[in-house]
Amino acid sequence: MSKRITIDPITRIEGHLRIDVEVDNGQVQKAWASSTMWRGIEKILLGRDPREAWLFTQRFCGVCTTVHALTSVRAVEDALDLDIPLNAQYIRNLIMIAHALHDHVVHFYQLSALDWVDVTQVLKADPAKASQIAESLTDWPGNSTKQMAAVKEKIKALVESGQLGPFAHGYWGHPAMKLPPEVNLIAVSHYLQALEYQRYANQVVAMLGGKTPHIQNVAVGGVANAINLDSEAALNVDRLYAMKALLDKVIPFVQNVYFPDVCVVAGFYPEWFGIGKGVTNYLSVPDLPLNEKSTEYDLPGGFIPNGDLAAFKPIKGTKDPYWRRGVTEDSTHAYYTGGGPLHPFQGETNPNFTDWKEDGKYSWVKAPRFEGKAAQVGPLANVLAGYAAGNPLMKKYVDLALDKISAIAKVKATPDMLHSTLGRHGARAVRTAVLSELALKHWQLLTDNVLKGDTKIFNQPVFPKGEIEGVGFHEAPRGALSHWVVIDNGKIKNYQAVVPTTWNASPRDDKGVPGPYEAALLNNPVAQPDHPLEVVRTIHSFDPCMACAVHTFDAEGKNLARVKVQ
Amino acid sequence: MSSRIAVYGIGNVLAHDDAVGPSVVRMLDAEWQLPDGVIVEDLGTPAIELPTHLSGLDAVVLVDAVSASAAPGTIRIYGRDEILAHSPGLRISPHDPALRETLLMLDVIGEAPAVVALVGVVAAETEMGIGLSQAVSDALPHAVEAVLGELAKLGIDATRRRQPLAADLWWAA
Repeated sequence: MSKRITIDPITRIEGHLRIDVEVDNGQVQKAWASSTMWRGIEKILLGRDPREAWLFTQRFCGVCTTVHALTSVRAVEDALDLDIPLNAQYIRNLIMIAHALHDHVVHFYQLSALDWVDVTQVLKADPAKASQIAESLTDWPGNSTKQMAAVKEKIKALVESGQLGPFAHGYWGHPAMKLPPEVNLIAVSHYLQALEYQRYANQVVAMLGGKTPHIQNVAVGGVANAINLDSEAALNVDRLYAMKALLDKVIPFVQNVYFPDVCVVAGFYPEWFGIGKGVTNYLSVPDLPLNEKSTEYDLPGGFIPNGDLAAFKPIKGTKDPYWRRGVTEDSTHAYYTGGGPLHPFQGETNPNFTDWKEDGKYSWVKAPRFEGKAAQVGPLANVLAGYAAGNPLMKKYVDLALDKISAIAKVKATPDMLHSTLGRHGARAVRTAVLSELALKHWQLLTDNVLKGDTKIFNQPVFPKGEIEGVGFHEAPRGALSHWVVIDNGKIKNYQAVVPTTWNASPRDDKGVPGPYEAALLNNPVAQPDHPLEVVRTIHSFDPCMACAVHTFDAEGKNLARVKVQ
Repeated sequence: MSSRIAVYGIGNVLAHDDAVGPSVVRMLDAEWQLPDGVIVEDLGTPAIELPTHLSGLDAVVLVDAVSASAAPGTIRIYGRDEILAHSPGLRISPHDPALRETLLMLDVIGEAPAVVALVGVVAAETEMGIGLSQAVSDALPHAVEAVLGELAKLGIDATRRRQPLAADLWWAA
């Protein structure tokens, strides 16, 4: 008999993602992803000054704050055809890179590693053996027997206190947990170290952005970071080197800890390369612009239909009609008036709530489509685009990851296996490693340009009479993010944000085609319906973040996530 | 070295009463002078960045909208033990490191603040939209007082600014 499992909400802070799956014979047969909260945010922007939109957009969401600030100013700059001074491009690029390094590291260790790592197994681990395994993989100095033993003691104390602390809410002892005790110990040890190293990446963002999580240094036309080599209050050589010192701490952690850890975990769960494939149309956008007109980028983006890398078609920039005309959003199954696809410039956000209806409307998320197709976004889309485009850094780290995984799993890992739940984790680690190299490159570009005497950071925006429209995009940690703005006589007339999680958590469209989460869950195993760890693994591999946080602290412990089995 | 103390407002300013945390700290900052070194900041929605901001502090006073069985606008103050009293549910959210989880994580690595006070204001409405409900708006000065009270317990004396600044509630303009 089939069972219906509802997990609601699956992301508590950032909003309200609900997943419904029908399970039969231990496998998911049907799946629905829905958002249970209205994002009426775009309406807040109507009639406002486009130069201030970024202040509001970076308050959309509880995780992706920075990315909405940057994408918003890019949308307005695109509408104005405004060039961006090189210093401003490099500063923004460094913020994006540091933000992504932080976000990806935290996603793996703090947000999803415990889907694969059983903390309670640490008690059975031999610290010396764990140290030996870890040291055979990299030369990271944090893997000594002494350090492993100290972590084991910490976990032992937690378990003996009867309170597992931050680990209290895991799927301990679940039959789908398969790592050897020593690998669990290595992972938990790095989980704790990640708490320290992620902070350095965050500090780079704060150093350039003024503060985090809501940066203050961007402006339509550039940035507000004064550059003056003779002033202590401005961006000067001391500050540049202080930033480099932070990057020099984060980068080895990414390359020698996070990247190999993902390969090791993947190597012990090879069956998960065959699960969670879902939608294999991949969309990413180019990012890290290298010139003032944003026509050259360090990271390629584009569209891959049906997982066919040979059919990759690059997106050249925001002006590229392939991109600009390609995006639509459909409301057939979303709680809005209207139905069929609309281009974001014509997009509407008029609520029409109907309750959850399996064959009708069931989500507050619209269904974005590229060239009429559902598309998966995120690091996997970005890495595959880079691989298809022959980007040397992407190729280097994809090949390195596949080699490491092959060695541990003792099966030949191939790029085809990336179309999977584990592939998304692997691709995120690859992207982070690539960005860790690009961090130094962009730091050098900025430093060289500043030392050359260029202090320009801003071009004044001038708004014409009449109507203009623009799109800004950014390859954010969770994937392709775009803001679409229509400006009339210098005021915002329409504003639509097509966010990564909208692409991935998309409901079915007018043709009944499911979105990436929904498709990826099909045929997922579910060993224990009341502990649907496998469903959670696949959803977490996308790094979901429903936009629009409501941060109410629930003082009485109610409204926590629920799992309901019918 | 003197102790490290911070006052943080938490909340989404675009979600009606969830703006209460940011509003209170901005009002506090505009009206009161605190000793050098006390951090006063509108953290907005820090989520996964919260550990960075809490790590290494000796004490923190947080202001946030809360959901509790009490009339909107009611102010409740929670200590560390009360915040931690409710064990997190089954881990299905990937973005779970909220306040409770952050404190527990920092405890493991010995970096959690020893003193935590949460000045909670019971919210009436947290849908998307700008503007506080009347009840929460009326509670703002009391919430500022409550924060000052928590700071006083920590030995921090605030002095009223001779010329108060205008609180920068830019989103409400």
